[in-house]
Amino acid sequence: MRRPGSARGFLPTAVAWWGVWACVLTFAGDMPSGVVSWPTGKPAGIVGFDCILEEDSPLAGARAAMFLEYAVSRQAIAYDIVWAEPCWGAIHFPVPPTGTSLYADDARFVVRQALNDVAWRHSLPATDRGVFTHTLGNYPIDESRFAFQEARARRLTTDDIPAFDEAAGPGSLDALLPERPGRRKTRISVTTMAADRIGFSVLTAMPDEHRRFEYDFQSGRLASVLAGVSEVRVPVGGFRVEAKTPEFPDGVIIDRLPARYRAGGRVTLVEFGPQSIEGIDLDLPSRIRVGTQDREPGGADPLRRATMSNYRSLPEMPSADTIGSRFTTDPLFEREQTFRKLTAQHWNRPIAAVDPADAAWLRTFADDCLGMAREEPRLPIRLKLLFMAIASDLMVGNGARADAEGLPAHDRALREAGLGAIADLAAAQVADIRANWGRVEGDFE
Amino acid sequence: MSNRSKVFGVMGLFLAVNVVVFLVERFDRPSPRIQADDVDARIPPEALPINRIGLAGEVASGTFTGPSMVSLEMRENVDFLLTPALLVQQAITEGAIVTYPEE
Repeated sequence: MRRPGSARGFLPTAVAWWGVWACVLTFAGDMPSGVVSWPTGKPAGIVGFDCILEEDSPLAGARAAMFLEYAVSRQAIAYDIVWAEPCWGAIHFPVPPTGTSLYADDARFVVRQALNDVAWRHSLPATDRGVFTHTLGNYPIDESRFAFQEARARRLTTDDIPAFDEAAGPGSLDALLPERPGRRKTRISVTTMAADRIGFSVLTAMPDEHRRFEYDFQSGRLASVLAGVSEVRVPVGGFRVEAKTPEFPDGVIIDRLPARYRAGGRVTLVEFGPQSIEGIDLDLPSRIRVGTQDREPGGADPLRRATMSNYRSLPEMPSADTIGSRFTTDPLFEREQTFRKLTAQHWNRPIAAVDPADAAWLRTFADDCLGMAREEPRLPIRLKLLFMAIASDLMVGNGARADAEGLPAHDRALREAGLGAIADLAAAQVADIRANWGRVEGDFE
Repeated sequence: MSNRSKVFGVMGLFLAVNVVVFLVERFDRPSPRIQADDVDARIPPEALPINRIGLAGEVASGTFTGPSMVSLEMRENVDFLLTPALLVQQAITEGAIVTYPEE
């Protein structure tokens, strides 16, 4: 039965149904949950890996490479700095890098310098970062507990996915992430939500930070994450100071902002690769490169670079009480300590001043180190052995062998690891030391 | 026009506007590439910086490199040692989403 006037309502009705179906069809194809596969973690026990970490410090005019071994479990992280280059002078780092270890979990943050027998132990959670009072390159290594804590609080979980869906939904500009202990009020804004790409911004308040993330997937696997922080504001005495590190008459500044380079912000590219740990198929990071707006992270000269390799399953995790014991229980440890003592005693002195007994010990030690280096497959250990062989040879006047064997092998090992700039620095340091030695009165080389 | 038609008409108009708004919003999204001067149009106004130059602009125009800057640089370098471990920890933690941890 047709009601009077219903014919005149046909057009609006058709438009309405067209609208309904258009919306349903359009939005159904855009529902993030249906098309996006978030890269989520899979339990894989305790994972160990090696890492070469290269850091350029343009403000300090320094450059260094560190060789670390990491151990990571679901609850804790740990690292040992096995070796650092260039090895002929002081490294731009808060402590002597080699022999430094870290252990951190939800409750503890421990740093130990095993060779100097010093440790810094803290309970977590720590208080928030305070004002930054460090100058001239000083920064206590145990203050990285704040970074650890902040990074853990910023972590995203599958509980946050509904907020991303909401932010990516029709007509939605952004969404709030669920509240979580330690997490500041965080808004997210989605720019891309597709099967092969996810892009979003993260905004936090007090201090205000704007970070961006872009995920790339290839064949359904996580290939890379591009991350950037371009805007930071910090509260200072009731004012908001944007993008600059404020200084006050008492020298107090706020610790939050990146150090200021020629171009600011940070852009980081993390590349991932497939790894199998105890039969679990994982996408694990293979390379991290940090640049600035004018130093592309993918370029040849990033600010910081980390290359991970040799992923493996570990039987157990180092504990807060045993970190660094690998250094002190190493069969070579006592001889290394003697070498360190003799180096401090005789370095930069004429050969004639070296005690004959010490010289004999150094000759034997140099022979042994060179022999072990020839057989040593692990790069950082080989570099360390070569360093000790070269230094011992130079101290006892055996420069000819250092020139023929130790130095070329050390240089070659660095260059083969892609550390050409570090190799150049090491070569310049050795040349400088030998030039200075030449000015020391006495029978030297 | 019947009441039913009026209701459908309004609904249709509403939905059509919704579709248009959605399409405009969808195709007006900024490039996902990270750019210093590319302030996301989707960021709520209260979250935008007071001064839109941002850190990149400040840094590009600034020449100040005080003694504290070298320590901030050291802070970044030291904190960066945590990053590889934090990334891997996310990858082996059930329920965690792998993301750059911003050490």
